[in-house]
Amino acid sequence: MKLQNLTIIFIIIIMPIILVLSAYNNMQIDTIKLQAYYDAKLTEAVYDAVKAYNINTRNNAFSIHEASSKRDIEASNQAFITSLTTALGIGGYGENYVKPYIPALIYTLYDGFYIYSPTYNEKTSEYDHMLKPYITYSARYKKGTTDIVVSYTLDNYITIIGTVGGEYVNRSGYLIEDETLTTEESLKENLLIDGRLEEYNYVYTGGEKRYYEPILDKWFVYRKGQKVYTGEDLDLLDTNANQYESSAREFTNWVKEKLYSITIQDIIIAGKDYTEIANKYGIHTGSTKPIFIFDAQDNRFEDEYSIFSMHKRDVIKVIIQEELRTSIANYNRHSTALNIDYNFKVPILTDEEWERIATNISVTAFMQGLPTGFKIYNNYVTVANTENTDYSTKDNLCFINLDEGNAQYHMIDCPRLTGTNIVGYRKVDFEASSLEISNEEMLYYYKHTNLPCYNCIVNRNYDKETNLTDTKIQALNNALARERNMLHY
Amino acid sequence: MQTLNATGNTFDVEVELKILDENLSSKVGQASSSKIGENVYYSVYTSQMEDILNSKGKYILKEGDIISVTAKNTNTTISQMLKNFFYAVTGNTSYQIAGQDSAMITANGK
Repeated sequence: MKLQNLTIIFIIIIMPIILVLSAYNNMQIDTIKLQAYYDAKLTEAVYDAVKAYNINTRNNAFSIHEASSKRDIEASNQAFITSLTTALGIGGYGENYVKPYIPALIYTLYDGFYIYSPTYNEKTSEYDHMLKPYITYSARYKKGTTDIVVSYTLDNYITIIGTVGGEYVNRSGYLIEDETLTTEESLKENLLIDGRLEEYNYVYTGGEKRYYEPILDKWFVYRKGQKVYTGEDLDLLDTNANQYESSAREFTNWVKEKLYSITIQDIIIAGKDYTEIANKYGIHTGSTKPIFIFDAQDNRFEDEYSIFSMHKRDVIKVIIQEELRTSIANYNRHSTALNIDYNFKVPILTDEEWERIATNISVTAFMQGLPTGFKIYNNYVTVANTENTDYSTKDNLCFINLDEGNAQYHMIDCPRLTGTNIVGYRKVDFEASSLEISNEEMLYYYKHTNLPCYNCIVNRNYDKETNLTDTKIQALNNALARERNMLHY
Repeated sequence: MQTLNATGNTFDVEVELKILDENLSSKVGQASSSKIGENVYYSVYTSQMEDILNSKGKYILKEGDIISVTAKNTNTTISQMLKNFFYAVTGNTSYQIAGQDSAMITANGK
């Protein structure tokens, strides 16, 4: 056969194969691009939800109350849906198209979580996305005559309800380390009065800050940019840190006396005992030491790798997974009512993601079932709210050296933070605060005019001090104790 | 990087980090209660980031920072050779396999 004929036959055979493979490759590339696009839009939408929640709670004095908290969550959820539908180019009524592909949205808060998922509404006889009842991070412990339910929070505050040694108890409080000592503090912040920024000493008492006016020797509260004098006679030094230490010490001693024998092996969650939970969820096992008793070596309550902290994170992880499975399984049974033909599943989250969820206020969104070319989209995004007013840890406190003029604010372990007169405030207190004067006028001011340190705040890659000085330890203990006492007592 | 290396090709990866600096907006806001100042970003490039990665093993970013990554294939595949031949004929520049994306950090690192 002539070479030209062979060439023509070769081209006739190979050309269709090339065209088909080329089309297949292009479709695969388009599928990957679409998945990456959805990932980006989902992340942006969850970030908007977290931001909305952050802004609403920071400017809401009643955010810890349930009704107000629910309203903040609903608003945040609406921000998520609006952001997602706008990003996907289907705003307005388009949310009814996107919502069925969101089987669950989890809001993990300070002492529990909400799940926002489709539920059967008996009034309308339809499936609507609704906020399910609040679920606390609770676990049951049963040993001998002790049968208690312990509710955890994101910090060291716990609530104990049940019978201990046959006696009914209902107590709550902070677990404090044996070496923690606190002192009285002199606290100051700026207020915007008649357009001027003025610094005042304050103490926190009766659920509100009381400021001292030195010229008139009177105390006042700050309402809508005005001073409202209270006629009280208070001490200039704030004693919240001392009150925290006293209350927490009394509670910790009671726990030490009554719950000295409770270990990880005594846990029961949703009817499952320790062995079943360990096999199913891969929690930290092996330790037979008591959970609630301080041990300088391996159970420091403020340490994230202590027995208490790791067990608490396991409890949060197990409870969220149990509720999520139930929620998505229920949705699966009824998803055809929302015109979705897809088998929704609970994805396996990595340990790093569980770490982020169980140690922060966060929002996790699951999106499944969206067609994307060759594949069906199935992904989730978790965004943590690392700047919030609901609880305090070492990571959201910043410190100033009061003896330094125009001092910058630092993290406690920043080597540039020096001095013997150090005080700490929440990170959010260094950001702009808003003051609504009227419906048309909003002013902004800074409670502290210190600027952030470039070594540890603006750029986080600094060499952290591993051994803090006594002054810094004292400042940290005072700030943590004060902020926690202001939240709870 | 492991996923890229698994393809058997070599890639030139450039990273640009834009670090959020809120000092300027703070200064503006402190001077005037009716204004909100704008934030400023300063850039950290690949070699600067690599110094920190080599010494500490990680580079910590905070909420609001932006990371931008560009990966270019430094091998020349057969497909690229063919394409470049046709591009040269038509007078266009050469074709290179590259990918680029950027995103904002949504939570403070530890």
